Amino acid sequence: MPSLFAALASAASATVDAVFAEGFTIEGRARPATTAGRVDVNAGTVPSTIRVSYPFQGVWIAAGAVLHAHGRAMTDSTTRGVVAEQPMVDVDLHSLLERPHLGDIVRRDDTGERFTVTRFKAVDFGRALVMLAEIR
Amino acid sequence: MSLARTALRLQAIEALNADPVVDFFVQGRIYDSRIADFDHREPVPVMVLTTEEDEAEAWSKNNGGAPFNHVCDLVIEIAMNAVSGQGDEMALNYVGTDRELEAMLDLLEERAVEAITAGETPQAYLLRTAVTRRVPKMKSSRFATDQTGEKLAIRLLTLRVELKGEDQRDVRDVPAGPFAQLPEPLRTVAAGLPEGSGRQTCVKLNAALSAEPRIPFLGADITHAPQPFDPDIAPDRAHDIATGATVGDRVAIPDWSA
Repeated sequence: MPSLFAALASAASATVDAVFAEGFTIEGRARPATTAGRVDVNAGTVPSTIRVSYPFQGVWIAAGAVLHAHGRAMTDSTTRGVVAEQPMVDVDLHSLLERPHLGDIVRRDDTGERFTVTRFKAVDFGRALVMLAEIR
Repeated sequence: MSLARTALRLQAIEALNADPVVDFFVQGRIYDSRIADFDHREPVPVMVLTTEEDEAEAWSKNNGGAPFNHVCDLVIEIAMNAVSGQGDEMALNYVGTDRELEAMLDLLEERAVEAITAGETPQAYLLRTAVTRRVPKMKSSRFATDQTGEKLAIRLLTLRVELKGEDQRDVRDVPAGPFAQLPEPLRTVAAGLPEGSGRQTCVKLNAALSAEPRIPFLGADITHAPQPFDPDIAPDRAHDIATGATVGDRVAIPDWSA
């Protein structure tokens, strides 16, 4: 039996989504098979025939923090950003039909931006982070 | 010259995939120069094949290159982790203990070196006859970690490969076929690849090179004019043309291939 806090967090999850969440669409991607019947790991991805495309609700997180590499007494405007936080979607596990795979495409419905899934991290209390990379 | 590296990677992957032991354990997960990070949940074992240090010394000390003695480091990263669940290793072909993990990496390395240097499959034979001349040196280093909570061991295998030089363009050599624009040895390798991403890459390279048409050198037209054997009289080209003193000759290159 989950702890009282876990039960409350789980109940709050839907409320969080009702306030903050927006619509996304995930498209399952897969690599084609080789003539020998193995997955062609060096090929580009194509829409998966098994994992379908479906909409889901999630909370968009893009912190926008950028780390610049520079020494002392140098302004950010004179240097390049070297590390930035990835954009990600905070989702309730129930809104996903299955675990997203590396390379799946996520579309943010409001803006039409497209991203690839780079990592899927299950965090506590029934929520997970889908980490993304922008497709230019 | 550098397309010989492409040929090496494409055919080495074919040779490794053709090895029955490698195919049984790795199941086609041999990546060509993978850049993307590995998700720790991705199935293992995997191999990542790259061509790294590449150097070429001219065969002729006097004239320089080309042709060169082209030597390239073929690096194969063989990674595998251990599973802890009872019976998982049987179901997944994975291993359960550190000792088995190391032994399995040794096995895969053994087969990889064998496939590239002395393999008996048609793919390995093509690699040896068309792409590589010999492998004068090999080196293997070990890396192991359990930082992500999973035991992972990697063998970094470096094979120094002497590559067969691309043929110097022969005036009489008019390549034909779907990969006619590619230089050897990539042309031969491309023609032997099965349908898939490797072949598609060659199609793209071939299309990129077809902007430069390769016109066979069939001969030369030479126009000359006889001159008086007198050092005081300078040749006058306009005069020779006006008086019709020029003679046109054609030198045809015999077609030795016929």
